[in-house]
Amino acid sequence: MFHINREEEKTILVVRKHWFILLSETLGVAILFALPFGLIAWLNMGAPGVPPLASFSIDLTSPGILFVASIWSLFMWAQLFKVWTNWYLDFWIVTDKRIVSIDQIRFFVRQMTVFRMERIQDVMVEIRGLISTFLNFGTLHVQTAGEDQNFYIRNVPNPQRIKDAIMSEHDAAIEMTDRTMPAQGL
Amino acid sequence: MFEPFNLATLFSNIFGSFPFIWVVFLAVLAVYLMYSLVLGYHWFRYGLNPLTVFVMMGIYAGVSLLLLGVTYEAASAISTPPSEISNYVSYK
Repeated sequence: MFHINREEEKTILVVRKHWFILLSETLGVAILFALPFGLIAWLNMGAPGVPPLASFSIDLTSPGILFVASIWSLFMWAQLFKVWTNWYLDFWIVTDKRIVSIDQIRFFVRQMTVFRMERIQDVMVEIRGLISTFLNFGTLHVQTAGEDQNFYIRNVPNPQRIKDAIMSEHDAAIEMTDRTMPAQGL
Repeated sequence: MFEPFNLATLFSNIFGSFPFIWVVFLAVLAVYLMYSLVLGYHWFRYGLNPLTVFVMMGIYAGVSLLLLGVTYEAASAISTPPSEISNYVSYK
């Protein structure tokens, strides 16, 4: 498990993609799951526009069909959890000291980036499209000091609130740095 | 009997009298277990909240066991389970 040292830093936010993203990917798997069953039912009913097959009839309760259907269901069920895993393990942790960005690309492919609060230069929110506007989710861009360091997380819920939280922690971190590092040579 | 690519003959040469449906079942079981292992590894290695991971694991395992049970029953209805095949062998 991923751990943050609670004594040294305080977790402000854990940000995952919006539930609509999970729902839309889940619906994709659900449609894929239902496709063969729908096709069989459609052919059994006598599909319109398809030449009638007098002898065509599949009994969904026959052991052979049940065997294939249960295997199909098992793999679709596992696929559903793959979708959930990719959603669950793809997140940002905002603490009072840093932002940890974990990008779960697929199984065994992960990218983890950590950047300190005081290095943040700019935070930008981008909301595009009808659904994103109504459900209030969008992309959050964070630019840090350094060579072309631009991080982003897509489809996060309430990006403006996250931006405000990051900026507030950034200001606090800058203030703390100024206090602990008194002006030298003045 | 129509035998595409002589699969039935090839199969019987490899597996002898072991019923084909049970080979499929065992192959599915092996793939499923490997896939579950990969899922479990990711959940426990990278998950943030142990409670969420345990709850999701319970749901995943519960429904999976049910589906595997249905697969087993369907395979049993098609062919005698391998564990019971010896019961039907008559010794001369």
